Amino acid sequence: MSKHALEEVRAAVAAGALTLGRKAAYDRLLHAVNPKEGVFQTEAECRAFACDVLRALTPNDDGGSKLIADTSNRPTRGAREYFDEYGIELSQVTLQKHVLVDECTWYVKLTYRANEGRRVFCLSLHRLEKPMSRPAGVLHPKW
Amino acid sequence: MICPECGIGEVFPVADAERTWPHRTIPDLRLPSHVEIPTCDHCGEQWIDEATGGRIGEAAERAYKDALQKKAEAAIRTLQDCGHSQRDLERVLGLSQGYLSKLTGADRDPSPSLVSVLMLLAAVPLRVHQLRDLWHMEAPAVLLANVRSSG
Repeated sequence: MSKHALEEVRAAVAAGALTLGRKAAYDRLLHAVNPKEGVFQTEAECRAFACDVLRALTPNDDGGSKLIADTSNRPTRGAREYFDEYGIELSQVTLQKHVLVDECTWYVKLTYRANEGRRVFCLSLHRLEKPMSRPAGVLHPKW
Repeated sequence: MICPECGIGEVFPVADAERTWPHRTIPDLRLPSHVEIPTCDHCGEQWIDEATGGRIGEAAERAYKDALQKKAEAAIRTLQDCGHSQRDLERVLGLSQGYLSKLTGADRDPSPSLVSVLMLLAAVPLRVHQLRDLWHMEAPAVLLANVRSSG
């Protein structure tokens, strides 16, 4: 079950308060650095895609949440923070908008910080790599 | 701000003259040193918000055009050193007369596809002759086979 309210996540994204991580978002999405998997050519294309994917998330795509501390090798600082995972199958409209053909299923990892300007931090955005259990059923990678 | 990725480091704006960014066809385009990117001092993750993304995009596009120009100029110089005049290259590439000199004079932005062809020709200048032969409607089969096997 996700820890961050999707309505707040979507509202933050719609307000332009979205920060993307480089390693697991841009470096996965940009073709020049990742010819096997990358589908976009510019930062702006990645950002527009990320906004559309995050705004399309529903509770049915919920893949659960984890403590960031559990994924770090050392004790984390500050409050215990969770990130949420989602698996989403994009609509044909979204795929066509971003000139995608076969890349139907995507993995999203995000956190939301109300105390930092109601901002969403997208830690990962890339093709779904393994089946994910969700309320809508198991989502299998399609690409 | 504590890094959302590792939960350990602090995120600060960092300007680094050695920093690169993938843009269009170039995986390691060097960004101008004035472009600051918020970066974690522990895990090194970079965090790009809308404003930072806009600055990166603008700087990368400028740097990309500059890089295309330099790559085109370098390729043309190499081909000239191998005895191919600009006019000769323009003819075999189907470009109008003076196109390449305008390119080297920074009068226009070369397309990535033209720069790709120039770079490939400059890597194996013999290919200019092959290309001229390949333009024949009935290109010799042996030539096509040679091109395939050398690829």
